[in-house]
Amino acid sequence: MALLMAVPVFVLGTLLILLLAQTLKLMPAGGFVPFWRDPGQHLLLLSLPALVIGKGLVAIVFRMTRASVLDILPRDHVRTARAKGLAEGRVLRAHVVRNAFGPVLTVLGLHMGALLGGTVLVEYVFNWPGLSTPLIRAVEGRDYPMVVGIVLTVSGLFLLINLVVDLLYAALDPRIRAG
Amino acid sequence: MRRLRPRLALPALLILSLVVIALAVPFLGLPNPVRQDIPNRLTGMAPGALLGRDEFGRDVLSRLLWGARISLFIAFTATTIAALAGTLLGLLGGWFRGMAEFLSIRLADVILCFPPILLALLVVTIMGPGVATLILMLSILYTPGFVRVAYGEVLSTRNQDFVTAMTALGATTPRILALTVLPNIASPLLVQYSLTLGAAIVVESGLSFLGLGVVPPTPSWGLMIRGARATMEQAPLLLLWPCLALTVTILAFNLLCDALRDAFDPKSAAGAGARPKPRLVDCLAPGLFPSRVDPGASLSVRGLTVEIDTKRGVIRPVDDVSFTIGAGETLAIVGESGSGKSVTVTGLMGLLPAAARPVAGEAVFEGHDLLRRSPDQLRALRGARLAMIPQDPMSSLNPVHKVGDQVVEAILAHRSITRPAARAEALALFRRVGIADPERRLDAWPHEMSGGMRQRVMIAMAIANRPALLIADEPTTALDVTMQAQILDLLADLRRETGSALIFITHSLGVVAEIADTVMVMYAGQVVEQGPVASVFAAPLHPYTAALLAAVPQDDAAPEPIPGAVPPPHQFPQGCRFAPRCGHALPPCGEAQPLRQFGNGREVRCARAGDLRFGRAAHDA
Repeated sequence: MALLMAVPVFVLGTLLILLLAQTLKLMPAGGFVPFWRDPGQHLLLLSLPALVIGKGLVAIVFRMTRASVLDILPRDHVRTARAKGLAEGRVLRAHVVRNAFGPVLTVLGLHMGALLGGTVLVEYVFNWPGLSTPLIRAVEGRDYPMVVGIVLTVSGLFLLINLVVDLLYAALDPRIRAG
Repeated sequence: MRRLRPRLALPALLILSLVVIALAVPFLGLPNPVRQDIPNRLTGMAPGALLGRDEFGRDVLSRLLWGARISLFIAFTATTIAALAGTLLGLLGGWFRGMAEFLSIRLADVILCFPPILLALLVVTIMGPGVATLILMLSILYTPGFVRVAYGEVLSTRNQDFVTAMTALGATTPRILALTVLPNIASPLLVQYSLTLGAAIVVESGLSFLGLGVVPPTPSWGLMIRGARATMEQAPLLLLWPCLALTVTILAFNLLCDALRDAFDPKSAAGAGARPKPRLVDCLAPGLFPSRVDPGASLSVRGLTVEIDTKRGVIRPVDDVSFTIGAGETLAIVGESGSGKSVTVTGLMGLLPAAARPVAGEAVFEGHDLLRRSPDQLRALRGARLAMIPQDPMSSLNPVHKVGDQVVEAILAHRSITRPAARAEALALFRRVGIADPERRLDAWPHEMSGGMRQRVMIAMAIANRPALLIADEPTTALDVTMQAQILDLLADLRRETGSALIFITHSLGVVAEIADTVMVMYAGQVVEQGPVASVFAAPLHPYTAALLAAVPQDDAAPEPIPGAVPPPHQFPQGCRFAPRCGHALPPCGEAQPLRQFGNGREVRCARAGDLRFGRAAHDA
């Protein structure tokens, strides 16, 4: 886990290409095929970048879930659930994990920002034609309007994701809902 | 702390050696890291170039070590700037509040809103790539982190007594900040510092990898990975070295950060609990040799002792507690906070926290010893034959489930009936415990109910499966006075109807007189007196019972508080545990006292029992 957290995304991506594409010849090294032209190839090409980007979140979600569950476990309502004679599995599912999920979701939303930033590197590594290639070109060429436009777009996406997270949060925790 | 040393030592040693290498690179006699040697490009390991040469024939080992120098230089410089600026802003914002707070915190929030790599790219667009840009950009990026940490810590430190004391002594603000507040917030800042160092190296190498960080031909790990990607097919090792160096470095910083965090914030890691060993005879022939059970008793506890592992050693918050409660009877357990009442009953329910365990004694309930039942057997009893009403109804209901569902869950845990049938029962239970508009309340969330209502829900949940024994742990403490009376009436009614036994923990002696048959007085983990309520209250035998009774406000007499407090379990006195607070202590009280029979079903743990007279008996004499 510690090792996974320590590997920067672009290092992991590069090493995966070296291993899977270059040495074992299992996968293409990168590129893009539109989904409607070849869904299988599209998903195959998408899998590595998605895996690499997801790696950062695994560690974060792992830590946050652990902390959150440890925070919920000693609460009174968990003791109530045990006092009812519920099986331990049911106590964990219905009374611990369900309650612990809120903070995890919040952190997940907040890290979407870092994630959107991280995609720049991953898209570059895997030759995925997202926003990153124009962004890097614009930065190199000092094309200010282009850079500002892309940063605004990504920031807008970030806000949107966090809005969705807040709405989900309300669905999870009735106390958040407007009464 | 000592246990953490090895965890701290390894990453610290690694980082130290990295720093030493980075500082010593110019003196190691390595080949010039930027000198190209095109004819020898991509050659493998050879004397003179231990790790081979890159796509321009430059020495890889040399570039790797010079790269470390550059990366660490950028990371340390930027992090130090960010730490100084952020701490200062946070200190000022947290200390002066008002305008300073607004400026520093809002500014930090704005920066934190941006995805870090995007913000970095924005700065690079404006300033162009290069080491100076990287340092400036990373400083800006990481200042808010320090602002937030410093701000939060100052807010929590500024109102503490020692800071108030400094202010009262007339110390100037900079002096207080530097001498009192800063040392107290140093450890979280140090953790943040190590965290930021690792993050800075990640961002620096990432940008260099994109060609937007360190400018070639300056050696940098990110640039090396970028270069090696092009020649991956011919020389895959070229890719491996910088990746390895980068990962190990970041790993070292992360581990250091974790170790520092644990060192500064040691949460007690208590060992797992162990149950008392089942008696051999119970394993071989269950039920063949039942322990001495009082027939007709609902629950018979003998010599219950609970131990908890703490950092200061093993403590015994419950020591040799025995009592019997007959079917349909009510036993009240009284005593000040910290006397072991709650631990006793949670021990019986098998709900002790992991660090605590019953180490001795037995608790026979319906023919079986609760302390030696398997977790599954105990679970089947809990909520069915044995139920508990908690102290605080506010926190005892799960906020994310509807209250009706939580009652239904209790019913379905022990009976195989359909969900609608269980719901119908829950409705009847709600009606029984006096919840107005029960149909609608079934679908209410806990936060939509008052404390009294929630306690009624908890009671409905507890009686859902008609338990033979109900344990109420200060069920009215968290409620207001009118509500207390209603809940007590409800409990008394229910007990009459269902005929279940009731253990009632309380601080209120008035309540005891009203509802209990027998009373057990606990002090510092031991039973000091027990017996029928009427006789105990009329003529207490133990000075502690007498003191508790004297502390109750009466019509004519002013209440007399008991001087001092219950000692914590690791400071229990050797002899009579109440002796230090007792006005009647004599030399024999220095010896541990046994619980002695005293006629009429009464027991007392006092060297002078019988010789001292309290209460009405004292007046009559």
